[in-house]
Amino acid sequence: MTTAEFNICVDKFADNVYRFILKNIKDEDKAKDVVQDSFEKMWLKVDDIAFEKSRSYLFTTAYHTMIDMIRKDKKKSDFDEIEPYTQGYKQEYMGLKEIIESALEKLPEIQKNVVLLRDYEGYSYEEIGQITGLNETQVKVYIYRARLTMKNFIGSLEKIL
Amino acid sequence: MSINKNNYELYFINFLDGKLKHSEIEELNAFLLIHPELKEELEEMQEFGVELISEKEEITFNKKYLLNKSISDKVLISEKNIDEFLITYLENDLEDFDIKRLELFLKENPIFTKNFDALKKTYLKPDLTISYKNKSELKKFVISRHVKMRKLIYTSVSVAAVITLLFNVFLSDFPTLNTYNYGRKVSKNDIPKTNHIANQNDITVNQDNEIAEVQINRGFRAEKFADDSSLKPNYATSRNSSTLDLTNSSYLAYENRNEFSDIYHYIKQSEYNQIDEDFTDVVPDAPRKGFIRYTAEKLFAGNNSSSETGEKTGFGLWDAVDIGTYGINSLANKEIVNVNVNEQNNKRSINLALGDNFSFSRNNRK
Repeated sequence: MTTAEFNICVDKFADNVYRFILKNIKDEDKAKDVVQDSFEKMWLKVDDIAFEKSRSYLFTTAYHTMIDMIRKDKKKSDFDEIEPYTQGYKQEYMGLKEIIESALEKLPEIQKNVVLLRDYEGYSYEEIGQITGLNETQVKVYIYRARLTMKNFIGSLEKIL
Repeated sequence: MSINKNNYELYFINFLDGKLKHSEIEELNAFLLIHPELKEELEEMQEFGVELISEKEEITFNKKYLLNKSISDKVLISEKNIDEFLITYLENDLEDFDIKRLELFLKENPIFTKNFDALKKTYLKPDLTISYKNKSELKKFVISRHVKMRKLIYTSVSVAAVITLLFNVFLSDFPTLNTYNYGRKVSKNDIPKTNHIANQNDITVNQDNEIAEVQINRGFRAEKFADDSSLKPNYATSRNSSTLDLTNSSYLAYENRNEFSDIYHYIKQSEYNQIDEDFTDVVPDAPRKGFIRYTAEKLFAGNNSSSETGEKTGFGLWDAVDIGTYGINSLANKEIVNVNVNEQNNKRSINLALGDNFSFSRNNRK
């Protein structure tokens, strides 16, 4: 990949990677850090990465960088004995978008990631597997479970509301 | 891949769809022996009694009459597995005949359309208003990633050599020659006063009334002009020396030296073969003189051939290399560096001889 192609990658994929990470970690600064780290890592291997594979490489790198960050934060949180923040919801003001957001937050980390990669980026099961290190079947199962969980959560909330 | 608690559901689904291979069916049976509690789950999915089969058995359904046999003889769509069908459909993973079965089922059981609607809501849409603002910080700009490092090194070394030698030449005692000897029959009084030859006593004449010596104030240089008067006006007009009487003077003392201009005129006069001989005593450092001439030729001659093709392209890398090479060799008074040109392929190479038993050579191309 040339320098020009690298810069094209920035234009084309920086927003997508940022959205994906931000949706997961809910922290703009940390999401920016992950994006910067990912592009820096890609730059270090710019001669070895084909332009066609750059998107996949970026998401894979960003995903693993984010997971490392989450683990570090979790360790720090455990050390500080701070109660993890559990996102609640304000029933009285909740629209469909907020309900879906809440449903997404209810998902385990890995299910949330595969659903985001599937819905946001339109990745195939195989590509998601490559990014997350899962096999294709595991990706299918996680997506299936995530949909059911979200559907049940949305249904239950809609009944309440 | 082997069946485990993370993926058994998919095995169940594939099994019910008849997509498992024989080896996978055996694996599934073994798994259910280890986890009998999951057998109940599978049976619930079967609902109508899909039996576990061995590799020699066929999939059978107890209530095949409920199936639309014209479409498929696979698992029946039911309340228990409708979500699986719907998700698979929404994932674009459902085969055509199953899509028709699903559509038929929903038509006959409209109550389940709410499941369909609910599952559709689980599909997320990215918020396109969220964007990474500082993309310019992520971008990289490289002047030329393809310039080989060794080329840069040689360029740097050459330029550094040129600069060093120029400093050596022009910031040393070159301009401060104290004594200027020549033999020219001229009256002492013919020599005009200048701000650099302030005292007539600085001029010594011999018995033949020839100027034997002129003391010049330190910091200035006196140069004898060529006898060819046609050169004088050109040279003089480049000076800002109103105190000189050029018509009567064979001296030129000057200040505010412009090095390049000096070099140029020096070389121009050299071309007439007049300065070289006369200045032998003034510029005793022959290598320096040669280096200046060589540099000036490269800078001003306009016939530099920087490219391997010999095209005249102006001052280029190889001219800098040549100057540096000339300067280094002149300074060392021996050929330490040389530039070879292969006449067959017109490639150049720099050779650095550090001793009798060691040399280092690099071509200018890959």
